[in-house]
Amino acid sequence: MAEHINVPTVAQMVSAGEVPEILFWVGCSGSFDDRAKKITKAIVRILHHTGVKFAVLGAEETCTGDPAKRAGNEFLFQMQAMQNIMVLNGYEIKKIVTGCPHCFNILKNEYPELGGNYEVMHHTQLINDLIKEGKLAIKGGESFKGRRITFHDPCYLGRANDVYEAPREALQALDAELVEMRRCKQKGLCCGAGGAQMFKEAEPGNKEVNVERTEDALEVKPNVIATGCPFCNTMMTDGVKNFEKEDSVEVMDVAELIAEAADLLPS
Amino acid sequence: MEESKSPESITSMFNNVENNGAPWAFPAADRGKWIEELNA
Repeated sequence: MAEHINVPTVAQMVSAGEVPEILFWVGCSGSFDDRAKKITKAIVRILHHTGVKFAVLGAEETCTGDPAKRAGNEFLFQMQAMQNIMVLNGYEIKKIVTGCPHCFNILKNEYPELGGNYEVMHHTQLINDLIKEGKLAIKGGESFKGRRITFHDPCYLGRANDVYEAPREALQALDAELVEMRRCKQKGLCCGAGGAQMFKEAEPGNKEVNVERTEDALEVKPNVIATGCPFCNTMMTDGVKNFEKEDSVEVMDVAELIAEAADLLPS
Repeated sequence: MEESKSPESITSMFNNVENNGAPWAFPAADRGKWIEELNA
């Protein structure tokens, strides 16, 4: 039987007289979307396995306001932000890890001026740190040796925050062959979901952005397209299906690949 | 605000954020459901 994994809420932890070392900000996608929930669970399995004292907000978590702000609704963004900051500051949260680059970006860069000051990490940074510190050994699970993996840079992790190396360093622990797309890092291309585009029809044009981005990825003949964002995951998965390549090309989050290789996922 | 205009799907996303605390119309109470699934 699989090991029971305790996921305490901050409220539960505080009422037991403890404080979390790090708050796991799950995000809306990671909480509600079936595909993204698998990424959330992989992150939690890694946190649990490495003994990180973490907690989630549970029902006290609400949208950061990112999609509202990106779509131009500053008022709604600020309402969401103020609500979240009140909760986070109330619990004296110092450190946050997010499962989504959109949450990461807005908590890190746009909450401070509203009174929310936290050390914010993206999950690929935390995972990379855990590997480097020797707390997360990549062994016992599926071997990725010889498989070709290409990493798609999420806009709000890469170009908005200059985080390019952490996810790549983590992937190097897999002993796979990391291949770069022609457009990568500073020259990366959006998956098509950024800037609240996830929530509307595409602008007129002759090609969907996710199809163009998937072409970039398929060009390097990967076995796996690695992502670090639930929205990129959706867009690239749809792109791979568009080219009917879903049998030969997987779209997986860095957290899932690492958890799989470290034998942390239930069989 | 009076002169604001946005595509219908964006307006609906705004409404979801405001009413459900997420860009989709999922009930806020279901936010922790994945935790139950984790140990199912």
